[in-house]
Amino acid sequence: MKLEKILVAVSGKDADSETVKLACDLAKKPKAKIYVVYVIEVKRSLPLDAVIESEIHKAEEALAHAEDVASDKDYEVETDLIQGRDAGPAIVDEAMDKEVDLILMGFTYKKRFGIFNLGRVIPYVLEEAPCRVLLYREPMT
Amino acid sequence: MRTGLQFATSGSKKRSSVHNDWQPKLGDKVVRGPRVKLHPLRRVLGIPGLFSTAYGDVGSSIYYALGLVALIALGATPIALGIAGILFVFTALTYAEGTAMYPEAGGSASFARHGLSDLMGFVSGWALMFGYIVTISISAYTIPSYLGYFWEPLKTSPVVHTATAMGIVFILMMINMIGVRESSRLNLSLAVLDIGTQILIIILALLILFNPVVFWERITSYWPSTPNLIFGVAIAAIAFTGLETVSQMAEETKRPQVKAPRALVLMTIVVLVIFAGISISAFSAMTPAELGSSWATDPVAGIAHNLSAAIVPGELIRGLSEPAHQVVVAYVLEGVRNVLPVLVALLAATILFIATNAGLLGISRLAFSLGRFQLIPAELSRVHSRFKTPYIAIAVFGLIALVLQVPGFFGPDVFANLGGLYAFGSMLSFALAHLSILALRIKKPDLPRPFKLRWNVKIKNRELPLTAILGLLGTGVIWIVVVVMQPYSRWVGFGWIFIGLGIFFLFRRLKRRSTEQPGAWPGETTGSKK
Repeated sequence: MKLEKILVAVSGKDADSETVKLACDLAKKPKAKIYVVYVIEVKRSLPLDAVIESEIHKAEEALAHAEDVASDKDYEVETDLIQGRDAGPAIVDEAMDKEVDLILMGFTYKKRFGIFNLGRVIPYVLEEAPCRVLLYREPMT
Repeated sequence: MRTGLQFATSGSKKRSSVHNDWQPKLGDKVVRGPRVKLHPLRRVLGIPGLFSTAYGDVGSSIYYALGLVALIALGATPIALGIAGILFVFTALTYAEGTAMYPEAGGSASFARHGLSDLMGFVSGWALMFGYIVTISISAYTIPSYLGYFWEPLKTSPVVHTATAMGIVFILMMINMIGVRESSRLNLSLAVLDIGTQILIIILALLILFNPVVFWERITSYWPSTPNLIFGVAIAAIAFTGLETVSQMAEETKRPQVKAPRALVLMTIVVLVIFAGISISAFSAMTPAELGSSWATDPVAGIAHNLSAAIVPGELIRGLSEPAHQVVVAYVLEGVRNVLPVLVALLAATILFIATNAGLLGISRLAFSLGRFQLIPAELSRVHSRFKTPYIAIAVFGLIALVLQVPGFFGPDVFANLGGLYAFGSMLSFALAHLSILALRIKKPDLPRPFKLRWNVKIKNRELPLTAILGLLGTGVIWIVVVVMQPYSRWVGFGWIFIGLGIFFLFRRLKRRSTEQPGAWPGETTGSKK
């Protein structure tokens, strides 16, 4: 499997650390480049370029944490913060722009109305991304 | 953008996350640039996405504009709409050039700021806000009329009608303060269903009801007085709400320089064709007097009602010789007859509901932009810490939209008055858009123009687009007509503008900023030359 570029989508949740570690492990052998992105979703009642301090703060922390995790694994990652209306299209579009071979996403096991739920971003990426997509799920607690 | 937040030094393993005053020290190696890039926006809309999102706004006006124009212009309604249609084409072309040059939220306010001055940018934006507020009021006010198919008091009782309309605005205000996700697939599906239903109505009306002699007689017999004809043309401008939406959506469009003008041209063609068809259908289905009275607030329901009554399957299948064909066609016609009024009622209510919501979203975006760059108090652009929405702007402008509906409790005049108010705000804004494009051609002739208007007049070595000149004259004259002929629009409209100017100058004074000093706008650095 060709693996030159990996895109890791982080969201500031618990699964981020393991997802970044997994990306580093996968990237090490083929010496692939890792991009870590965080998408700030901007509500439609705001312009797309609105600067929402609290969200940027949250994103910065998530990306800094991803850098630290990668650094612990002795790997360097490139981080990016992007703003979009929806995270799903933004991740897919970023993946296409960067021509990545793999999108890696992590999520925590959760139920909605008693049924296992993947949310809306992951199904979108699974459906629309032209490249490979790998999901990491946190263990059930 | 936000330098100081996004740099990391090679030596720092664990960075302190956010320090506004942090600067790299001598010898520090900056390992990467700002995380928030110069263009951090993820633009994903293409022409279909842009068209379908904006059509919800543009296409909604058909559900009230026809009745509103007929109320004033009577038999001259198609002519008034036609003249307004020509102006719409000129304005759409101006927007195409401006949006391609400046694909940012703000529309005409943005063009005026670049082409004229900060003050004119504010006036244009403020007038535009007024247009949005009226769109919210009028779209919501029309919804109960269509739902009157299911429960008559919604249409016939002014109290029930107005209370329902106000309830809709209030609910949407609350929803938007919390913030909901809009489905682009739903927008696309509704746009397709909407256009499909309108085409079905036009085809059926042309096949079953259209008679050129009757059509012509209805125009001539109900010809209005000259002042009414002129005011009718002014009011007909309400048919073309939503141009701003395309311009605002340009910031979310991939390659907006190319795609926004194409979407504008596509929208212009679709809107003009649909409006022409629906006007002909309306005049085929009923007299202008009926259209401007019983069906004024729900004209498309009127067409569907009369069309449904005219579909008599037994008579229409007489021409078919095969019995099997007769059975199938009779079955289909019976279905269309029963479904059409229900479909129109539900579809119109849904489209108008979305248009009301689009108005609230548009005004909150615009208020945020104006507030962010200190053209209006920053309080208006404050974002809620939990919901991440500009809740104060939504509440303030939503409440103003509610107040505009209050006269509805006391009589039906509110409908025409809202039309006049819309014409006041939008025509001022459109006229300033034309003026700005002309000013930009004079001041910055060498500026890259991905979409450049043709048919230029050369004056002192400057190319001035003829369509913008005609558009400026047309929209300017209409605005003057509204000011002269409609006391309600004149006083409420000027009141709005004066309040805005008061806020602008007071706020600028408090901020110790002169009106000549340009503010920082998206994509520009502070103090950059405009």
